Amino acid sequence: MLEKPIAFIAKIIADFTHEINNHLALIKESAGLISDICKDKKSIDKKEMPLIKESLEAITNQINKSVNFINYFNRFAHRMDNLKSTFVLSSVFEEIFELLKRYLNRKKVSLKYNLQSNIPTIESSPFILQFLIFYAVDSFLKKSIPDSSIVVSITSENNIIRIVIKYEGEFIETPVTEIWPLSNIQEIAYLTDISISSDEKIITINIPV
Amino acid sequence: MKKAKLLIIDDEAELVSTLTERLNLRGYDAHGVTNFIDGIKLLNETPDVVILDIGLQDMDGMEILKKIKEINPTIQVIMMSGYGDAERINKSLMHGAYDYLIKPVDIDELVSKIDNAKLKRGTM
Repeated sequence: MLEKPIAFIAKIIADFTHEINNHLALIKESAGLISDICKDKKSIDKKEMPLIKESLEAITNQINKSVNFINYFNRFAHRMDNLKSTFVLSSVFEEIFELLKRYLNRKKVSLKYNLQSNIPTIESSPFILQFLIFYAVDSFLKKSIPDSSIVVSITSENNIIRIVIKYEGEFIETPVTEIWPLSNIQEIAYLTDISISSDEKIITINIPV
Repeated sequence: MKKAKLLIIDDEAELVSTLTERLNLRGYDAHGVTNFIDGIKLLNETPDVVILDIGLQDMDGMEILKKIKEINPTIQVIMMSGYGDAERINKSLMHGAYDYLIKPVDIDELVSKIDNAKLKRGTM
């Protein structure tokens, strides 16, 4: 049963480290370029200053981007601290979608989400909820075609928060990678009070509050 | 030895321009693009070595590698990626990549790979 959540964490870590390596690559090349320009010189030519300034700016911007991205990852990691905690749905979504952004971009699938303003805080497992959201997005992306979209809408009614994740577009005929069976995912959801069901292009997650 | 003609393909524009600048400062004739469509136009100018990011937005790096090898099998391709998993590395080498470097790369290591890749091209 642990296989799927572990695969989910592995995917997030692999994409995260890949992204951070890209950030570090730019920092390293920009610092390297400054070092190349300054090599064996006692003073800098005026005409070289714009390039140095540009490189220093690129380093600062990239460090800021990296810090921001690392903070999302750190928050994601802490979602696993306890099986049950109180959390705000919007921050859980913000994190998981930020971490999945590159995966979505690679597949050329856009993601839109619409969160109703009166959503109450939730007492459940944020990690399992993120895992279920990942399952929904991942199972669509494995069959998606470029320029399609995933639309997520979240509503609250009768003490139930309903997350509807809908794929808009055509599917490819034969997915290259295995799509996890819903029954495996439901087994994991049973550890909490969250439930998940699936139709061809719609996956619904219900959270009692 | 005449320095190699290089084509850098990576979707990170700032990285492309910085790396291109650094390689040009080292005497190479380097050109950089951020997508495969622009890259394919520059392939007509027959670079000795292509430095290729594996995760481009417009096309999978592995597919680009195959296409480059179809167009001209003597062009040497050095793959560059933030992913360091054995599967990607082996797949790249199997499809004819000269080498695979994990980002962030060391410029001296990259230069040494470029020079060796050019030597290999000269023997083909």
